[in-house]
Amino acid sequence: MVLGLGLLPIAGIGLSAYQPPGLVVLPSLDLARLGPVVLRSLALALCVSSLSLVLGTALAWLAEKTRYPGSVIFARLGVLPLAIPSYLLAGILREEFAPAGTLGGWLGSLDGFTGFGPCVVVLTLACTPYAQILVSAGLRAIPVSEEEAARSLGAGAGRRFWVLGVPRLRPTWAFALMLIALYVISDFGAVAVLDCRVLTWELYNARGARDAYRIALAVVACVIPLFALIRGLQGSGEPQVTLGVGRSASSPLRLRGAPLLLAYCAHAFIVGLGVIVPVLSLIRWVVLGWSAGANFAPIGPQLLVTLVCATVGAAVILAASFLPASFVQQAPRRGRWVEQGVYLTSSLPGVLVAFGILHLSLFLERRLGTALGGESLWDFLDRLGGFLLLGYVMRFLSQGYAAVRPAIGAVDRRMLEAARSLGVTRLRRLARVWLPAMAPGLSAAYLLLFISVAKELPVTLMLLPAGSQTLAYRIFDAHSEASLPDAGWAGLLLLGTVGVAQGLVTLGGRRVR
Amino acid sequence: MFDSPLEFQDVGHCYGEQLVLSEVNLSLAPGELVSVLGASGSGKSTLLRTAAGFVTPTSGSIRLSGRVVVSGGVERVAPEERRVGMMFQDFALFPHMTVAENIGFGLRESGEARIRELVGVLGLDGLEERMPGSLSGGQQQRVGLARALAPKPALLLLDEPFANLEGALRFEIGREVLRIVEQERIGALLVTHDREEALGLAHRVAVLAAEGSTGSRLEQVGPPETVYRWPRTAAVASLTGRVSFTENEMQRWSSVRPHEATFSPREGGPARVVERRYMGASWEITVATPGGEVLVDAPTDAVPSLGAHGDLLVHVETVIPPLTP
Repeated sequence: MVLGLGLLPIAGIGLSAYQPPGLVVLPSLDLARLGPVVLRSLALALCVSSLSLVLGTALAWLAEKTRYPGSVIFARLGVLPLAIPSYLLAGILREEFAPAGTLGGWLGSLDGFTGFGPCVVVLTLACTPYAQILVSAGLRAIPVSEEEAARSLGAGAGRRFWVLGVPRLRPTWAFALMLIALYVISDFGAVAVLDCRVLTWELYNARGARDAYRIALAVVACVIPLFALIRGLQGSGEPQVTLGVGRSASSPLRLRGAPLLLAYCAHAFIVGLGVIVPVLSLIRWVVLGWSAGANFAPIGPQLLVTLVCATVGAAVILAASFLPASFVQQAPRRGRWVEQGVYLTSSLPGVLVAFGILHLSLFLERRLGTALGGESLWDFLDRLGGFLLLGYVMRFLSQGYAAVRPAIGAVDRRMLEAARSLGVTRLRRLARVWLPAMAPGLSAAYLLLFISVAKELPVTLMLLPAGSQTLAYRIFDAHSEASLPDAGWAGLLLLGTVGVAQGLVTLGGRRVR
Repeated sequence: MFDSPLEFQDVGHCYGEQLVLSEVNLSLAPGELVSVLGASGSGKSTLLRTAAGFVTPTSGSIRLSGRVVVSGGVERVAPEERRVGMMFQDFALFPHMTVAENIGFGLRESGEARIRELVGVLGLDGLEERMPGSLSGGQQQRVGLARALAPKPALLLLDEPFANLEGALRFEIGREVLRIVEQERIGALLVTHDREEALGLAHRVAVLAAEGSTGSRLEQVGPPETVYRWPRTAAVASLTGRVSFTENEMQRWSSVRPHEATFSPREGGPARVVERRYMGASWEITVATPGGEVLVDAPTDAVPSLGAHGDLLVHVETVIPPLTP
């Protein structure tokens, strides 16, 4: 199954080269343009990952090792940009920094907020929380007693970071760098909204052209080495040599003067542009729309489609994750390849996955023709959202797998043996032992998948049955149509949906603790 | 006249609403090792960490070599400027540095001579370029000691440093610490819950015990023998060794150590053996008396049978404040 999923988009890319001439709706690509596009994609990945890492490390250090007025609240707000999809953030900042926008007006902008530079800003905002979370975990892994030993020997904050932090954080930095680079190369929403001519946006625009497969292959060529590096870093991740044990945190450093000012600047950038400006802008667009008597497009159907897609999609992904997770749990050695396959499948950009499925289904339709009742297989699967669900499974299989595998592992074998020795049947063991033990992990995984599917854009955009729209789709459309009140309304509803699901995850986590 | 390497004055500390330490007064002399003995959760590590600067006490003041480092709940000197040596239970060596680099970490200049000196003193010859992870527990703790001593601190803080070591090694390294403390005239504060360690190594023992919700306070400070033989309270008696408490006709309470009482079997005697436990070198018998049950050591060749009657003779007993139920 995993092998099939992994190869499916590759097969689709291959088949796209042999589509009949009737399908070609765009002129052939100017291949001379492909080189600069690849370079631009790699440059974007390098800029964003480097900036995110520097900022994320600084914010993680501030959160873990220092105290100053507002530090706790800033640390919590700092990860909120994760909840805002990159296409929404890009759309908001594009409008706000435009010459006619609020921030653009204040700053006296002459040009629109589009292209490479703005894309670096938006994606850095979106990726810094990832870096912050990873580096924070790395900093927390340094035993407190080592910190205290260094302090008692006269080492100041800078020397402690250099001597104790840097050697420990090197693998984390390398991993975060690769992970963010992969995220940036795969990103579709922000580059599309900000019209940055990188591979994913070019692939989307050229999806109907016969030689679009060349772009798709260029995407694969960029993604696979990064994926291999990430897995290599994870695989070779020997346990950190730690001679001490953690203990209650040592007294944190109190920031004053210039370092404090720098800290507030970093927070202002992340929290201001990544959280406050987006939320206020969405509200402002809606309020302005109302006060101007704008005709809001009905949003109910989009909300309903989003909820249905997220509810069904999360359930299907979770169910699909059980197969590789149980296989790996039962045969860890052989399962390593299955695990690699799961992660490889989900590391492919959404636009590439959708492109592959699209062309594979077109090929199958041509070969199989019409099925029962005069309806083609394509129409049948398309109408039921079969391709869409397949796309979701491929995009988020690794996320489901990463949650299901520990949930299966959380079942204490001794409890099962005790139940068997007491003569409990297989069905009752499932109901009374397996499910209660797995329930907390599975419910959290389900809600997180729900959030991911609700926010997803490229697969939805390309594979959602014709005539339907999700909130993400609507936001993308509203930006294209420059209908800010509609974009604001859909954005607020999407953030509300994500917020409710995230709240349930947090609540569930607290109850489990 | 000398400046005490460490002086606690009315030190108290709360974690939120919970009072942990109360009115701690203690002063160390140069070359003196004082052990703080207390049960788990009694606040002994907190006391040590207040001296190191990792915890700021909510009341009282601390002086290091005459300099006030904290007073009235305000930190005056940061931990990295206090120049105290500290040894940790988990050694806390820097795993990515060699033994020599670990030892030299706190030295301002390159300090190769000092590193060589400590390597020699602590028997670490030939291990200078090894990584800490490849050393035994005893060697790691020696490196920890060398690292703490390298900057020539006036005060050495020892946070249960022998807890992760085997029996014989604990004693050996403990003696090395004591020798260096005396030789280099360093004040040392050893925190432990192990009474043998506390009594066997220290010049003075400070017993920290909690009383109700008032936080832990130092119940008694004195030479090990004094604290052991003449405990001021039941808590001190219990923490420093095996003990029984009895009440006489005058309703006075006293503590009795098992080796300071003997049981002589006699038909119809007032005391009776109710329990026996083999301890290897001797038997420990529990004798029921009108004043309460008393533990007594009995030689292996003359152990009374279970239920035997006789007389209990107490050679040394220490009057203590009445026990509260």
